[in-house]
Amino acid sequence: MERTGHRNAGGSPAAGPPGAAPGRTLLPARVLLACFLRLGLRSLRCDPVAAMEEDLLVRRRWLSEPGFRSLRAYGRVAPGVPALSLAIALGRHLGGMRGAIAAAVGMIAAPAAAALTVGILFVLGRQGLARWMPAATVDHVVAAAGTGAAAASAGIAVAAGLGGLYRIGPTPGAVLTALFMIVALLLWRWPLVAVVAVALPFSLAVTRRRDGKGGGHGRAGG
Amino acid sequence: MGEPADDVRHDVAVGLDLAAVLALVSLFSIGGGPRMMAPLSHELVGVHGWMTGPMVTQLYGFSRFLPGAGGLVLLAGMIGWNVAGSFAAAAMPLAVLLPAGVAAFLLLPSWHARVPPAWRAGLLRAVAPVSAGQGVAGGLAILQLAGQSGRAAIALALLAAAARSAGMPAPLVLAAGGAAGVWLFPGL
Repeated sequence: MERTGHRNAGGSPAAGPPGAAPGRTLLPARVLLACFLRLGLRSLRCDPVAAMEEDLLVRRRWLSEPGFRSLRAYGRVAPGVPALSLAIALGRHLGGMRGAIAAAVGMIAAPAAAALTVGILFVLGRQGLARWMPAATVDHVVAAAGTGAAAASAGIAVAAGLGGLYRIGPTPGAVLTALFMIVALLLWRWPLVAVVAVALPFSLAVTRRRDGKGGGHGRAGG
Repeated sequence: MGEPADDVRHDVAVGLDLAAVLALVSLFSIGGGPRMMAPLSHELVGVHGWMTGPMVTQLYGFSRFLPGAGGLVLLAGMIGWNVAGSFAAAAMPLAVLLPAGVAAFLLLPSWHARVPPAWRAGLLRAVAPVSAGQGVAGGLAILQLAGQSGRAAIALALLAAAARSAGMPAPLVLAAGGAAGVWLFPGL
């Protein structure tokens, strides 16, 4: 393991996750970039969070288990895509600001290249099909295929949302929060910021009240 | 309109508005992906009228063939391309990733310093139903947008959910959905 530099990763003793040694040195950004480029590539074919755990925690031992768990939990509640938020948190913990940038760039490079390739193939494929059949027919086929894939994905998303609710334990508070989200976003058409501003404090209050009564299950624990 | 310079100015103005919409939605969608779709489709179709519902549905469908951040980049790029041209196709992936990434970077010290470890499991349990509700709303929003094809889309969604629950890989479910779509939605 290569470690250089002399700055503390978090900037203050309280800024590190559990298990972070005070005064620890930072990894160079190029090391993190190479590592997260590989992880970004792996994210195209497997769960990126599991890949980060396997690579950084189990294989390289760059973090303690409590430290990784804390950052993984942060990735789940932080804004944006969880895997990218986790990569940024890991990069910041291991390499400071440069490390966070290196981790973010590395993690997104392969998916972005894949997106560009798929986008180009989509345009070329459409043009190629147009040589064999009327352009209007191509448009119909593309629209129908896209709608079919979207419907399938919507089914998966609804099932995953309901499954997530079941996994955390469908308490009245959790069900009410999820129902409020659905009604406020789909029927009332509230702005997302307002919906989250109401739902999150409500869910926090319900959870803390339930935990205070000793009813917390911790099934979603980090 | 009419003058090329006016067209460019219009595209840039629309592109900036679109970037603000994508940034805000990505900042407040817990978990990304389909969880963004209810507010995003409402902004794109209902509020600004930049795209039609079926168009959003189709782009979303194709973007789902790439997992995670790749799908999000593809979706943002394709929306940008359709709404404001090639400049927006390149810029919108940044709009959807950068603000959320910066926020994730800036909020990390507060997580360590101000959220005691004992609260973290509770916070995760509190966030989970919000994220689950966003996911269900996102899926239902996509089915809503399918418009006249709604009933067939719901049937397809139910089949896809059952196939996924039975362990069928997601790319295969999506490919089967796309193939079934060609047969189910000939009038599109």
